[in-house]
Amino acid sequence: MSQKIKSIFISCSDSVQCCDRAQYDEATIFEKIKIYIHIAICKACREYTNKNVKLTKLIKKSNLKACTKEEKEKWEKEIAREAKK
Amino acid sequence: MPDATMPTNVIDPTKWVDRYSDYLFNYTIVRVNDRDLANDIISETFLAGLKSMKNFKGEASERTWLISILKRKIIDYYRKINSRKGSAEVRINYNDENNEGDWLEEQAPDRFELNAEDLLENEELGLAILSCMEHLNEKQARIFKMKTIEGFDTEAICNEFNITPSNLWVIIHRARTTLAECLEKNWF
Ligand SMILES: [Zn+2]
Repeated sequence: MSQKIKSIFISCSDSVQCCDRAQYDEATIFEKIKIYIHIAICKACREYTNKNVKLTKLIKKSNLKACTKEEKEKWEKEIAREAKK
Repeated sequence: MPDATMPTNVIDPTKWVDRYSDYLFNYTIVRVNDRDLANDIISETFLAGLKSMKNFKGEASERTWLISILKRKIIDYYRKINSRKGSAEVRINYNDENNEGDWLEEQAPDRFELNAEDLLENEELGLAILSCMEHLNEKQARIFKMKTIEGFDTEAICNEFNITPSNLWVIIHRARTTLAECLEKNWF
Protein backbone atom coordinates (compact mmCIF):
# COMPACT_ATOMS: atom_id res chain seq x y z
CA MET A 1 0.00 0.00 0.00
CA SER A 2 1.32 3.42 -0.83
CA GLN A 3 1.88 5.95 1.92
CA LYS A 4 -1.04 8.03 0.70
CA ILE A 5 -3.55 5.19 0.90
CA LYS A 6 -2.23 4.10 4.27
CA SER A 7 -2.71 7.55 5.74
CA ILE A 8 -6.45 7.49 5.25
CA PHE A 9 -6.69 4.54 7.60
CA ILE A 10 -6.35 5.68 11.18
CA SER A 11 -6.11 3.86 14.49
CA CYS A 12 -8.93 3.68 17.04
CA SER A 13 -7.16 6.09 19.35
CA ASP A 14 -6.71 8.61 16.52
CA SER A 15 -10.34 8.21 15.55
CA VAL A 16 -11.48 8.87 19.12
CA GLN A 17 -9.18 11.84 19.46
CA CYS A 18 -10.30 13.39 16.16
CA CYS A 19 -13.89 12.77 17.11
CA ASP A 20 -13.44 14.66 20.39
CA ARG A 21 -11.86 17.59 18.57
CA ALA A 22 -14.61 17.52 15.96
CA GLN A 23 -17.13 18.20 18.76
CA TYR A 24 -15.44 21.58 19.19
CA ASP A 25 -15.02 22.27 15.46
CA GLU A 26 -11.33 21.62 15.77
CA ALA A 27 -11.04 18.81 13.23
CA THR A 28 -10.19 19.39 9.57
CA ILE A 29 -12.36 18.08 6.77
CA PHE A 30 -9.68 15.55 5.94
CA GLU A 31 -9.71 14.33 9.54
CA LYS A 32 -13.49 14.04 9.43
CA ILE A 33 -13.28 11.96 6.26
CA LYS A 34 -10.79 9.66 8.01
CA ILE A 35 -13.19 9.27 10.94
CA TYR A 36 -16.00 8.31 8.54
CA ILE A 37 -13.81 5.74 6.87
CA HIS A 38 -12.72 4.35 10.23
CA ILE A 39 -16.18 4.13 11.77
CA ALA A 40 -17.47 2.44 8.64
CA ILE A 41 -15.34 -0.53 9.57
CA CYS A 42 -15.00 -0.19 13.37
CA LYS A 43 -18.06 -0.79 15.53
CA ALA A 44 -16.57 0.39 18.83
CA CYS A 45 -15.54 3.74 17.37
CA ARG A 46 -18.89 4.06 15.60
CA GLU A 47 -20.62 3.71 18.95
CA TYR A 48 -18.28 6.17 20.58
CA THR A 49 -18.85 8.70 17.80
CA ASN A 50 -22.62 8.35 18.07
CA LYS A 51 -22.54 8.91 21.81
CA ASN A 52 -20.18 11.80 21.51
CA VAL A 53 -22.26 13.57 18.88
CA LYS A 54 -25.36 12.98 20.96
CA LEU A 55 -23.67 14.53 23.99
CA THR A 56 -22.73 17.59 21.96
CA LYS A 57 -26.34 17.98 20.82
CA LEU A 58 -27.66 17.62 24.36
CA ILE A 59 -25.27 20.21 25.72
CA LYS A 60 -26.24 22.64 22.95
CA LYS A 61 -29.90 22.01 23.57
CA SER A 62 -29.58 22.56 27.30
CA ASN A 63 -28.40 26.14 26.77
CA LEU A 64 -26.25 25.89 29.87
CA LYS A 65 -24.58 29.02 31.10
CA ALA A 66 -21.51 29.26 33.27
CA CYS A 67 -20.72 31.74 35.98
CA THR A 68 -17.69 33.90 35.38
CA LYS A 69 -14.54 33.66 37.45
CA GLU A 70 -15.30 37.08 38.92
CA GLU A 71 -18.76 36.02 40.00
CA LYS A 72 -17.38 32.93 41.67
CA GLU A 73 -14.64 34.85 43.42
CA LYS A 74 -17.20 37.30 44.76
CA TRP A 75 -19.29 34.50 46.27
CA GLU A 76 -16.24 32.81 47.69
CA LYS A 77 -15.22 36.03 49.45
CA GLU A 78 -18.71 36.53 50.80
CA ILE A 79 -18.84 33.00 52.17
CA ALA A 80 -15.39 33.30 53.72
CA ARG A 81 -16.30 36.62 55.33
CA GLU A 82 -19.56 35.28 56.71
CA ALA A 83 -17.99 32.04 57.93
CA LYS A 84 -15.53 34.04 60.05
CA LYS A 85 -18.32 35.74 61.97
CA MET B 1 -26.66 2.30 66.77
CA PRO B 2 -28.00 4.55 64.04
CA ASP B 3 -27.19 7.69 66.02
CA ALA B 4 -23.51 6.98 65.95
CA THR B 5 -23.28 6.65 62.19
CA MET B 6 -21.92 9.53 60.19
CA PRO B 7 -24.44 11.35 58.03
CA THR B 8 -24.10 10.28 54.43
CA ASN B 9 -23.93 13.88 53.26
CA VAL B 10 -21.56 16.25 54.96
CA ILE B 11 -21.53 19.98 54.52
CA ASP B 12 -18.53 21.99 53.39
CA PRO B 13 -19.16 25.67 52.56
CA THR B 14 -15.65 26.18 51.22
CA LYS B 15 -16.61 23.96 48.28
CA TRP B 16 -20.04 25.40 47.59
CA VAL B 17 -19.05 27.89 44.91
CA ASP B 18 -16.90 25.46 43.03
CA ARG B 19 -19.35 22.60 43.22
CA TYR B 20 -22.75 24.22 42.98
CA SER B 21 -22.65 27.79 41.75
CA ASP B 22 -23.17 26.84 38.09
CA TYR B 23 -26.09 24.63 39.05
CA LEU B 24 -27.67 27.32 41.22
CA PHE B 25 -27.01 29.91 38.54
CA ASN B 26 -28.68 27.95 35.75
CA TYR B 27 -31.60 27.18 38.02
CA THR B 28 -32.00 30.86 38.87
CA ILE B 29 -31.38 32.52 35.52
CA VAL B 30 -34.33 30.84 33.79
CA ARG B 31 -36.57 31.99 36.63
CA VAL B 32 -35.49 35.59 37.05
CA ASN B 33 -33.96 36.22 33.64
CA ASP B 34 -31.51 38.82 34.86
CA ARG B 35 -27.88 38.06 35.53
CA ASP B 36 -27.25 40.61 38.29
CA LEU B 37 -30.42 39.68 40.06
CA ALA B 38 -29.58 35.98 39.82
CA ASN B 39 -26.16 36.74 41.32
CA ASP B 40 -27.70 38.59 44.25
CA ILE B 41 -30.18 35.80 44.91
CA ILE B 42 -27.36 33.24 44.90
CA SER B 43 -25.34 35.40 47.33
CA GLU B 44 -28.33 35.48 49.65
CA THR B 45 -28.74 31.73 49.28
CA PHE B 46 -25.14 30.98 50.26
CA LEU B 47 -25.34 33.33 53.25
CA ALA B 48 -28.65 31.85 54.38
CA GLY B 49 -27.11 28.41 53.97
CA LEU B 50 -24.21 29.34 56.24
CA LYS B 51 -26.59 30.67 58.85
CA SER B 52 -28.72 27.55 58.86
CA MET B 53 -25.96 24.98 58.48
CA LYS B 54 -26.89 23.42 61.79
CA ASN B 55 -30.26 22.51 60.26
CA PHE B 56 -28.58 20.42 57.60
CA LYS B 57 -29.34 16.87 58.59
CA GLY B 58 -27.39 15.14 55.86
CA GLU B 59 -30.49 13.40 54.57
CA ALA B 60 -30.59 15.27 51.31
CA SER B 61 -27.50 16.07 49.28
CA GLU B 62 -25.84 19.38 49.94
CA ARG B 63 -27.00 20.60 46.54
CA THR B 64 -30.63 19.63 47.11
CA TRP B 65 -30.50 21.46 50.41
CA LEU B 66 -29.04 24.60 48.82
CA ILE B 67 -31.67 24.45 46.06
CA SER B 68 -34.44 24.36 48.67
CA ILE B 69 -33.03 27.57 50.17
CA LEU B 70 -32.66 29.08 46.71
CA LYS B 71 -36.28 28.29 45.84
CA ARG B 72 -37.45 30.21 48.89
CA LYS B 73 -35.27 33.17 47.95
CA ILE B 74 -36.71 33.25 44.43
CA ILE B 75 -40.24 33.06 45.79
CA ASP B 76 -39.45 35.86 48.26
CA TYR B 77 -38.20 37.98 45.40
CA TYR B 78 -41.40 37.57 43.42
CA ARG B 79 -43.52 38.20 46.49
CA LYS B 80 -41.63 41.40 47.04
CA ILE B 81 -41.98 42.78 43.53
CA ASN B 82 -45.51 41.64 43.01
CA SER B 83 -47.67 40.36 45.79
CA ARG B 84 -49.97 38.79 43.23
CA LYS B 85 -47.25 36.55 41.88
CA GLY B 86 -47.02 33.72 44.33
CA SER B 87 -44.90 30.63 44.27
CA ALA B 88 -47.05 29.00 41.63
CA GLU B 89 -46.15 31.72 39.19
CA VAL B 90 -42.47 31.98 39.81
CA ARG B 91 -41.66 30.71 36.37
CA ILE B 92 -41.90 33.84 34.32
CA ASN B 93 -42.87 34.16 30.73
CA TYR B 94 -39.81 33.81 28.57
CA ASN B 95 -41.40 35.62 25.70
CA ASP B 96 -41.93 38.74 27.70
CA GLU B 97 -40.97 41.58 25.35
CA ASN B 98 -38.68 43.23 27.87
CA ASN B 99 -36.68 40.11 28.44
CA GLU B 100 -36.47 38.85 24.91
CA GLY B 101 -33.02 40.26 24.27
CA ASP B 102 -31.43 38.58 27.26
CA TRP B 103 -33.12 35.31 26.79
CA LEU B 104 -32.37 34.98 23.11
CA GLU B 105 -28.74 35.87 23.45
CA GLU B 106 -26.52 33.20 21.90
CA GLN B 107 -29.47 31.15 20.84
CA ALA B 108 -30.25 29.39 17.63
CA PRO B 109 -32.96 31.12 15.58
CA ASP B 110 -35.27 28.14 15.94
CA ARG B 111 -35.55 29.01 19.64
CA PHE B 112 -38.36 31.35 18.61
CA GLU B 113 -40.52 28.35 18.03
CA LEU B 114 -39.86 26.67 21.34
CA ASN B 115 -42.77 26.47 23.68
CA ALA B 116 -42.75 26.52 27.46
CA GLU B 117 -42.59 22.75 27.65
CA ASP B 118 -39.44 22.63 25.56
CA LEU B 119 -37.87 25.28 27.72
CA LEU B 120 -38.69 23.35 30.85
CA GLU B 121 -37.24 20.21 29.35
CA ASN B 122 -34.09 22.04 28.28
CA GLU B 123 -33.66 23.43 31.75
CA GLU B 124 -34.04 20.01 33.31
CA LEU B 125 -31.56 18.68 30.79
CA GLY B 126 -29.10 21.41 31.70
CA LEU B 127 -29.42 20.63 35.39
CA ALA B 128 -29.03 16.91 34.68
CA ILE B 129 -25.81 17.65 32.80
CA LEU B 130 -24.51 19.76 35.69
CA SER B 131 -25.36 17.13 38.26
CA CYS B 132 -23.56 14.54 36.12
CA MET B 133 -20.57 16.88 36.15
CA GLU B 134 -20.34 16.33 39.88
CA HIS B 135 -18.80 12.96 39.00
CA LEU B 136 -15.81 14.79 37.58
CA ASN B 137 -12.99 16.01 39.75
CA GLU B 138 -12.55 19.73 40.30
CA LYS B 139 -9.94 20.26 37.61
CA GLN B 140 -11.70 18.09 35.03
CA ALA B 141 -14.98 19.88 35.65
CA ARG B 142 -13.44 23.33 35.37
CA ILE B 143 -11.60 22.52 32.17
CA PHE B 144 -14.59 20.83 30.64
CA LYS B 145 -16.86 23.77 31.45
CA MET B 146 -14.40 26.32 30.11
CA LYS B 147 -14.03 24.43 26.87
CA THR B 148 -17.59 23.27 26.35
CA ILE B 149 -19.88 25.82 27.97
CA GLU B 150 -17.81 28.97 27.91
CA GLY B 151 -16.14 28.13 24.59
CA PHE B 152 -12.59 29.10 25.53
CA ASP B 153 -9.75 28.37 23.09
CA THR B 154 -7.64 25.32 23.72
CA GLU B 155 -4.63 27.59 24.00
CA ALA B 156 -6.20 29.87 26.62
CA ILE B 157 -7.15 26.91 28.81
CA CYS B 158 -3.72 25.32 28.43
CA ASN B 159 -2.11 28.57 29.55
CA GLU B 160 -4.36 28.95 32.53
CA PHE B 161 -3.83 25.41 33.79
CA ASN B 162 -0.28 25.06 32.56
CA ILE B 163 -1.03 21.90 30.56
CA THR B 164 -0.31 20.80 27.00
CA PRO B 165 -3.04 20.46 24.36
CA SER B 166 -2.73 16.69 24.54
CA ASN B 167 -3.27 16.84 28.34
CA LEU B 168 -6.34 18.95 27.65
CA TRP B 169 -7.79 16.48 25.16
CA VAL B 170 -7.23 13.58 27.54
CA ILE B 171 -9.16 15.47 30.23
CA ILE B 172 -11.92 16.44 27.80
CA HIS B 173 -12.17 12.85 26.62
CA ARG B 174 -12.52 11.48 30.15
CA ALA B 175 -15.05 14.12 31.04
CA ARG B 176 -17.14 13.43 27.94
CA THR B 177 -17.08 9.68 28.52
CA THR B 178 -18.16 10.13 32.15
CA LEU B 179 -20.92 12.54 31.22
CA ALA B 180 -22.24 10.41 28.37
CA GLU B 181 -22.46 7.40 30.68
CA CYS B 182 -24.12 9.35 33.46
CA LEU B 183 -26.65 10.96 31.12
CA GLU B 184 -27.42 7.64 29.54
CA LYS B 185 -28.35 6.34 32.99
CA ASN B 186 -30.22 9.38 34.20
CA TRP B 187 -31.69 11.11 31.22
CA PHE B 188 -32.71 8.65 28.55
ZN1 LIG C 1 -11.88 2.04 16.09
